[in-house]
Amino acid sequence: MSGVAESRAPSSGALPEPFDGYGGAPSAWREFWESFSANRGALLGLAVVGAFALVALLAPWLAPYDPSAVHEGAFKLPPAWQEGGSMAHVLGTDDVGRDLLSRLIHGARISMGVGFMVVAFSMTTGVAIGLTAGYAGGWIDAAIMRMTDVMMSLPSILLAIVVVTILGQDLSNAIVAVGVVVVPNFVRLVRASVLAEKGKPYVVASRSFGAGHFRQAVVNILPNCLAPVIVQATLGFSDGILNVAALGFLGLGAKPPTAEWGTMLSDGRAYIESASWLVTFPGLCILAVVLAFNLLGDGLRDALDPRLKR
Amino acid sequence: MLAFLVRRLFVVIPTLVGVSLVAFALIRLVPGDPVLLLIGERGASPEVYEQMKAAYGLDKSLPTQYGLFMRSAVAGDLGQSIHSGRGVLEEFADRFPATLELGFVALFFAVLFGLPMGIVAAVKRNSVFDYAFMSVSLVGYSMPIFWWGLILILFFSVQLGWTPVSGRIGIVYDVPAWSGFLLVDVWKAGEGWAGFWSAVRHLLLPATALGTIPLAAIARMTRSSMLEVLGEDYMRTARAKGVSRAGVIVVHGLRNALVPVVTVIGLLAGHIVTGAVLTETIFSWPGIGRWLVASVAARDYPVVQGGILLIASAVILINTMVDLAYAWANPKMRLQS
Amino acid sequence: MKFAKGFAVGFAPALIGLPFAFPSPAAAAAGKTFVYCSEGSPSTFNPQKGTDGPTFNASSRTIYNRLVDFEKGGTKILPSLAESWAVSKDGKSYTFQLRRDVDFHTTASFAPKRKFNADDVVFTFERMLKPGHPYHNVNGATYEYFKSMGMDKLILDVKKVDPYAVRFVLSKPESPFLANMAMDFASILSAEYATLLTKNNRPEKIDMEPVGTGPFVFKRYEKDNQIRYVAHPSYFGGKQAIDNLVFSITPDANVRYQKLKRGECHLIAEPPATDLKAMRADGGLQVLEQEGLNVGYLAMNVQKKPFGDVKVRKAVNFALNRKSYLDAIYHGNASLAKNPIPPTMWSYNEAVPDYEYNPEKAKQLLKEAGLADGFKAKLWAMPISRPYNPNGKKMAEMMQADLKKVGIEVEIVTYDWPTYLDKARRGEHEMLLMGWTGDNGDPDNFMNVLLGCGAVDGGSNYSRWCQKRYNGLIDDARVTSDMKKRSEMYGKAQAIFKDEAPWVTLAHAKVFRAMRKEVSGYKMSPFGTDSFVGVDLRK
Repeated sequence: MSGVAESRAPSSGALPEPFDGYGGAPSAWREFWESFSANRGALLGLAVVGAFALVALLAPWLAPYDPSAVHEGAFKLPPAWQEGGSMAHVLGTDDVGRDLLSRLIHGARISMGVGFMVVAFSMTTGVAIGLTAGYAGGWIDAAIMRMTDVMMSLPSILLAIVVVTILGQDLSNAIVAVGVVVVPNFVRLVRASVLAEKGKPYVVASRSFGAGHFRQAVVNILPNCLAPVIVQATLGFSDGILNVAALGFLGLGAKPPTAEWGTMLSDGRAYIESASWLVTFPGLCILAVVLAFNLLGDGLRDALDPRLKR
Repeated sequence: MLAFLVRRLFVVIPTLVGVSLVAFALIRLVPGDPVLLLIGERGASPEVYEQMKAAYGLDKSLPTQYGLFMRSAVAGDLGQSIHSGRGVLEEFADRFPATLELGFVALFFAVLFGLPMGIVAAVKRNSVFDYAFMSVSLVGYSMPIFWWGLILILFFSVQLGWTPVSGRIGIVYDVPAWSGFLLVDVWKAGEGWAGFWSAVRHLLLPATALGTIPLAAIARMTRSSMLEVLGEDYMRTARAKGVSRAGVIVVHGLRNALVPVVTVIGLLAGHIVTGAVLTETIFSWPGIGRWLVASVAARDYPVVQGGILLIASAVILINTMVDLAYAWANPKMRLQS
Repeated sequence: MKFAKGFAVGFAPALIGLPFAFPSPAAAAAGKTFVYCSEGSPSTFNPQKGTDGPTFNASSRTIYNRLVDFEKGGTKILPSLAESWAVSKDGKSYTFQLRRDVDFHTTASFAPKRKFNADDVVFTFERMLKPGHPYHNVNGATYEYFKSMGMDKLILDVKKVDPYAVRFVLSKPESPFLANMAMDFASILSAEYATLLTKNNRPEKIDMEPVGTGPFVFKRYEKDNQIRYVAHPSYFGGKQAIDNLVFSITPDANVRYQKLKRGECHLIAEPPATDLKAMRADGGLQVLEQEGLNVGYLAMNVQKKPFGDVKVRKAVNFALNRKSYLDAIYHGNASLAKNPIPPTMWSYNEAVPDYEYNPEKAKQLLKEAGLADGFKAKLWAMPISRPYNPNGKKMAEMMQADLKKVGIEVEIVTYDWPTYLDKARRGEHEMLLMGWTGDNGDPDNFMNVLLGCGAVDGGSNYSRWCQKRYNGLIDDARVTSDMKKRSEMYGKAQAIFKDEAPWVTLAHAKVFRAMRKEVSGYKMSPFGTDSFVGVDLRK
């Protein structure tokens, strides 16, 4: 999982230079959309993300059964198209007789929620700290940057494992653990943007008009630093989903009977030979969502960062 | 150059101190006393319990414990594992080669396939190859490797029976550890090609699983950096001067495009160590990732704090080397930071 | 995955076929090699320091012997390095006559110049007993198992009477002493090897490069990966039929099963419970099972209200439908427990009547105790899977439902494992799921360790129940050396225990091993350890 988180660093590393000037002009949005919609991959990503979001929202109505309901006598039923499968359980059932499709649908709800929570947590924390560091400068900045150095040199998965062990095995704790690990990414991103913005004429001008620190930082500077943050947040969604699933796979995520994809995968592992669908489908779901968010994130970056446009 | 080095050192030392403090504090925040875990259901008289705590140095105050940890760490001693009683450094050294070998082979695999994929995609931009390779690398980039590992096992080991299920080499090969890298040690043990192939076959799946994401990252980075270089003026000049297309790409393009790619490889190398945790769990690979996860569960304080410190040092070392290489290649960098 | 086969046919030779083209390994180890897929890494190769099964399997059961040993697959005590022994009248002195034909292993770092003798026995025990002994603190050993069995207080002195006789002087008469001498920590180390290591200034090697007298000679340990042994050519019990023994360390149960199927191991520890059926149906495999030397129970803390009242404790016994737990929690791989000791142990009292499932009777008893409206209590559920109770939380939930029917409202509480043990040791619980796996096959090891008055403070008597008559019986039995008399005393004590009901006895879990058809001569040990003495591979 850390491989994922870190390997992304180089590509987003191209971002720290802020993008300037789209401050609310309607043409900016049109330009953005034109550039974004020309990217077929990005549109596909958006569509898939939208579809999963819809599934997540409508899970109780879409799922044929209750995800925790046990169907007596229907243990490890294969998918409908395989021998022995039945249309009653299109994707088959698991080892205790729960409908796999229903669990996957409810799993979308959990994974989308997890992605959202991880991003919300790490983004708000990271933006607040990064803004403080960049705006305040001096020893505050130095201290914060050393702290991010420390965080980034720690092996992230071990850090997440230790944090979950401290807080106790639980989905919400896994979210915190994964969120904590990615906070430094946001801190650095925002700080770099803030540093670049600080010297710009509009900031200097508004200071000369007597704008307070809070107003300066939050109202004037922050909005102009948001483009890379949005891109990072989209990519953070996929990281969050992936990493929480990884913790679930290691037995440190959601508690049973929660239908979380990573945990389902981990439970299904025992039956990899006799009931491979219990491993295949949850994994495909994770892959699809992560892929969609990555496509979307790449598209957003290309559209928001004119330098990368070709 | 020396000034740059000194400046880096000023950053590295506080970072390492911070890492040691975080590692020390975090593992002690984990609820559960390692001594009680050892005692188990049996229980122990308060006297024996205190004796055991003292034996592991856990009877002292936390600041004292941290002070002792740091003092001996500076002297190159990371203390003894509670579980085995052996030195943390020795235990680490016993397992590190397995992780390193897996990491090297994974990275080798990633470069072997990722680099050509990126080059071809850039040169044949918007061709079928470009789309195919970039789709593959995007999928690889998004791959949950714990699932990918299972699928590889399911397909190649269980269904086809081509590759072994777990382990580093066939049991018939009796290979004493010399360098710790089995691909090397088989020759010293006189097992020859047969032993070498057995080790390779054991490496195939875990290295593929671990190398997939680096492969994708390298392919993407190579493509975009190649594209940038191909658009440069000197490329056109060289072409105009009559250098063949292939010659331009290899001699002028690739050489310049490789700089950012090497940086990415450096970054990946630093983090492949930690990426190995999941791979080692899935493939029962006897490396440091699995060991550290087990040590967290056993509350083996010295192992966890020492192990994290060692890995962080390795990551910092690699990053510093990458920076140095950059500074060496690009004098402008030396003035910044 | 139909297409997989087609793919295989097309690409196999091209892709991976190459390695198969090479001839079979020329330099592969000669002779018969037996591969055991074990579940975990040993923490050390010195059984004096260990507490866990993987450590004992890798050290005491393969490399070492003790003065006396348990019979293969049983708990009976047989002569081993000692040919015979005599107990003094007051029961405080044991004299062992040693074998004279025992060779220590020759390894890469040691070649013995003499046979095993009394010096080795004295060295072994003095290392654990004497804080001033040069080897006492080597490798940070704490000898917790030795101490927790009370051996450091019990043994006053170990004397060499002559080169082939050793006398143990005890502080008090204690019959289980002999069984303790067959336990793993009593494995005999070589004094000559220790002297050599001291001379070379490498004392720490004694626990890493072990030298013993046992059936297999340690060759090499690759961390978390494999341990290799070769047969001891001059083992006093005869050279083993297998030439090489390999422990392939495979923590994941499913992977162990896959390896067994593919012939990458001959025998696996703890096969995955979910696949037992498939294994039994597989013609190439055999599954062994045995009732383990364990008990899972629910302890009621008699120091907490209302469990001080025997009527309440009995009511809980009647209220729980224990039979239903066997299927749901143990998947049928356990038998119902009624005594604190398992039925395979001597002195097991068959005649003790068990509590049947009877909610009406439970309500009646609660009424008599003045709790007609029931009461509220906390039930502690263990957070991890243990051999004697694979799923504490699920069992707690089932108990909660059962107890609700008789008016007892139960709240389930859990902590992480070490905290759970610590709080339970201090007696903070009301009802507690707990269990025990025996050490030495002696009833004292269950009935005293888990229910004796002395164990209330020591922490292993989790119901904190101290009953005079019961305790008098087990105390007397401990100092009696006549087996028949001891057996009677323990039998009576079991009846008192059942009547006083400090526990709800739940289950004795079965232990499993799976092996390939060609394996012969393997026998499961009631202690759950694995020994490969006498094992062979049929062609």
